[in-house]
Amino acid sequence: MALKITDDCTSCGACEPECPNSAITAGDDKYVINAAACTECQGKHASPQCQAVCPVDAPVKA
Amino acid sequence: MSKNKDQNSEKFDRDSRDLTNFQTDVLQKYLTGKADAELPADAHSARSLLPPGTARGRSFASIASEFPAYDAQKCVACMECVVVCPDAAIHARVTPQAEMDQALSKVTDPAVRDFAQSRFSKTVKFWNTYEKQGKTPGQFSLWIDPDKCKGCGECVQVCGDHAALSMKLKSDEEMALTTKAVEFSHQHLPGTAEQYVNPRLLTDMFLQDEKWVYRGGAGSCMGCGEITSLKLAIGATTAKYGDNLAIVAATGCNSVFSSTYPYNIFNVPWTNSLFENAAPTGLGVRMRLNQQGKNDTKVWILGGDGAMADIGLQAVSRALATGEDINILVMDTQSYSNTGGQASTSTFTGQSAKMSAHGKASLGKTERRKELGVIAMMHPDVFVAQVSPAYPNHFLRTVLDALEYPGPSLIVAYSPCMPEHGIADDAGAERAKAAVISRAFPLYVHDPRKGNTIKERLDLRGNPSIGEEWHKDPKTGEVFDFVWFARKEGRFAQHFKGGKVSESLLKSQEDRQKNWNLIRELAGLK
Repeated sequence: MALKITDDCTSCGACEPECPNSAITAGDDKYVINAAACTECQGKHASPQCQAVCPVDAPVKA
Repeated sequence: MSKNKDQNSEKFDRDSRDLTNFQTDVLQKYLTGKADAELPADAHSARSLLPPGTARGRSFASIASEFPAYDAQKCVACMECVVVCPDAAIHARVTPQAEMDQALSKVTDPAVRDFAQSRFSKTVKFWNTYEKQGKTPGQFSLWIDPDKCKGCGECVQVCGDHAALSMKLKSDEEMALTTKAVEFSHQHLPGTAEQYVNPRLLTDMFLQDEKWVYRGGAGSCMGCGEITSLKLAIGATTAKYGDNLAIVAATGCNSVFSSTYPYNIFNVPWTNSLFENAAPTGLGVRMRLNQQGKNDTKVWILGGDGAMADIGLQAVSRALATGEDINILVMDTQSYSNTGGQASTSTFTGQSAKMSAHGKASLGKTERRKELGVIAMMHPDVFVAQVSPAYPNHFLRTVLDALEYPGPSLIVAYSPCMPEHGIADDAGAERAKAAVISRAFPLYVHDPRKGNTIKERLDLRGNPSIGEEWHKDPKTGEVFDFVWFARKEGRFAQHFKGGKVSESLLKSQEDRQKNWNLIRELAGLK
């Protein structure tokens, strides 16, 4: 159970502080989600917070 | 008092409030440098009256030799530069193709038209994504006002690897074109339509610059973090509620840079009382507005850590205890910035400040930092938060939540102060991020609506590695502790002499660790 960030990512950085699990970090050409830490926000939020804030719909189901 | 004196005093009152000709009689003399020679002592000044928005005509074009050049093709429309610009010199718009073409067709000078056209681009954010979602895509454009820009370069810093912005030496020709392009954006380009303002990505609310009440012209230093915090708080307020607000400023940098006669940066009612008096003054404004049935008008009370955590703490506490709907913004620079950087109770342990420098003869400030937010949280039913302008989405969401909360709120905003922190003019956002990462200044929101226990009400989202004492670089394992934070700021330089870290700084690190653990304990995470 995890999300991943597609190549649509423009590295705006909006998602990073939204993640309740600190699972998102800046990668070389896009932001990346640490699958081991991602819980898709279950138990914490109604929907994944990175998806909610991403302006280019980059976070998707892995 | 004689009848004659009464009439004179009434006439004086009337004359000194007549601001109709302020633009021609007073402002123009200051703008052209003739005020000293040609103006008599004037009644507006004597009465401390300033018409709204007079700072908009003020120009800082001559103070910097460099100006940000923009490469639209590299821009991703993240809005970071628009949000962090302390001088509100940068605005951005999103425009459907047809409206963009129509606006450009109104420009007669081909050089200006070409230059203006070069400011537009089809970004993934507003073009590809909107197309994919079957909505009308928009061209993103960015405009930088040469009269407002002080040349701090912070926009270039936050743009980072996107490299759409870079500092270039000014040329008269390019500045003239840039000024005309900015005029074009104001005169011909329609404001950003609601459909392009993503309600979840709050930084996008700054796309509607017609809602800003602060549009630059403040006398703040280059890169000032205080005015960046102020801009975010007031910007969120007017984006949501329009200009239905009143501002009470505590004496300090913010009162000075906002209202140095004859320049007023705001076009909403604004007042300033004594240093320690902002909270009660704001409370009085609130009560009077309520008497007039204007319960919807928002009241912001602004001040620094000196005014709010030190000298005015009792007054702040009293105001918070009333339960009235007021909002306090504390621009925390960890020192008395306006008077030259004396230590306040918010100063970090070991931080070199005026009259408490760290050295051999004296260790400087050895007390632990006082946490105004934690103190405020223990008042009944008060919305309290710590925010950082480097986390604008968190900052803006917190401000909107505080405004919606029907009681008092107190928001402490980390505000880099270039001269007192010993940091570069373009370093504000980077330092405001480092402060959060290193636990020097953790983010939190305490919302009384969230539950009956502190742990239900306190949200630490936004801080990295919440479960850990220190955040580490996931690749290199580097520990981002308080020493890491302090290493890059001049106010801690004395602690790194001879390649060693001083005992005092390690004590300061211990203080920050204890504070982070306290906040985590309150949030039920420890």
